[in-house]
Amino acid sequence: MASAYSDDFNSIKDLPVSPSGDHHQLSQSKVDTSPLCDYLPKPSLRRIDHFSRMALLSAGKAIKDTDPSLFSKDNTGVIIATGFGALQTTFSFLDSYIEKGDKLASPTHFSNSVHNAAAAHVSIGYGITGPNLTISQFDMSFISALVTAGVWLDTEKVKTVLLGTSDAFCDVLGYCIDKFSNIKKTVGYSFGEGAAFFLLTKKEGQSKYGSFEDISVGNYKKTGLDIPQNTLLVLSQSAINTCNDEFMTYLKNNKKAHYRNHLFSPTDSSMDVLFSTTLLKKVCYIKIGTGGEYGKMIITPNLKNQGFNSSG
Amino acid sequence: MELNRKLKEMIIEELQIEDITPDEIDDDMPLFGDGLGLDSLDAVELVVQLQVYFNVEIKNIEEGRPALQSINTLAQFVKAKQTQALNEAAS
Repeated sequence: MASAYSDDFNSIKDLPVSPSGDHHQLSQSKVDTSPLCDYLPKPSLRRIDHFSRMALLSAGKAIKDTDPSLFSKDNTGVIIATGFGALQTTFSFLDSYIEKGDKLASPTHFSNSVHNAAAAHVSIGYGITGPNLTISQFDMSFISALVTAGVWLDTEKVKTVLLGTSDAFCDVLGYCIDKFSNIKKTVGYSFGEGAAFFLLTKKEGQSKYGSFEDISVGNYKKTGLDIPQNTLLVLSQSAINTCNDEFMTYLKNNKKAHYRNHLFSPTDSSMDVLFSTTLLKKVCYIKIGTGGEYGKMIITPNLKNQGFNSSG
Repeated sequence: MELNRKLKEMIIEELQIEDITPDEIDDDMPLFGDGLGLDSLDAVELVVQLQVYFNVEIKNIEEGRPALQSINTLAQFVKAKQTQALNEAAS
């Protein structure tokens, strides 16, 4: 904050996202959520903010994309992973609190600012009555959510899990990235927002895009990291460069890694997972976080669904 | 009628009512339920915005229920409160 105000800005709203000079330009891709009206009645979307709208649109597409026989509203759980939550709405609420005082802070902004607002809207909007959970663990949000989904399916708490991520870009985040982070100088990163949803089931042979053979978490600095030989290694780097440097040192004697250009967001893993199903080969996907923690998934793409026979 | 229009514009803006103009809101249309279709969260937001826009406070449900029936009842409530405040300031 001291740095922000030392630049002579009167309000956080005046902060430019892309300041002049030789700084790298932050590229942003704002999600167009207007197609949401094809899934839900427009009046019901009135108070719902952009963060939740992205989740609703992505969840709606996942439900539409799935085999109807797999999806039962009363036997489906909803789990949403988010790194920042409803960031813009949180700042809007704080703005109203700072500018007008606690008694005149916006109740609507507050109700949308809680991290589990998106999951609530998904359940209410699509009539899903199973358990509902939101997980926020920054870089490890998606992997934690995936582990939890696995537990729910293994224990037959539900028959399917609608698992998704949502993270939104906002001006304050852009300002902080530009001022305080070295990420923008790393080749391969672009900044944006998005949501990705999957309908998970334990039913054999029912996967449309692929399946998770193994999901694990750990700390490679303490226990090492086993990367199966017959897999393509896909990495999602941490948001912190020192973690990446340390991890690259650890991997230097291992197989060649494929870096994917991806959106910078704590929950980019979900989009990387979808990308992995298009690689036509079994993938070992690793997301690393701070301090050596990692999430590892072995993803087997459904080659038949992509026009290849299984032995090809 | 100027106050009525301001109230309608406030409601449309702050409650994010889309696809309706101030002219399409009848002054006697019920604000909640079958009329404009507002709900309980809108009521809380309205109480806050009345203070922001008009410096008028709804202190309890006994005041709020009759005031929030329609644009006309809301306008009458705002005028009465503003007149009361002026009288108290003058005395």
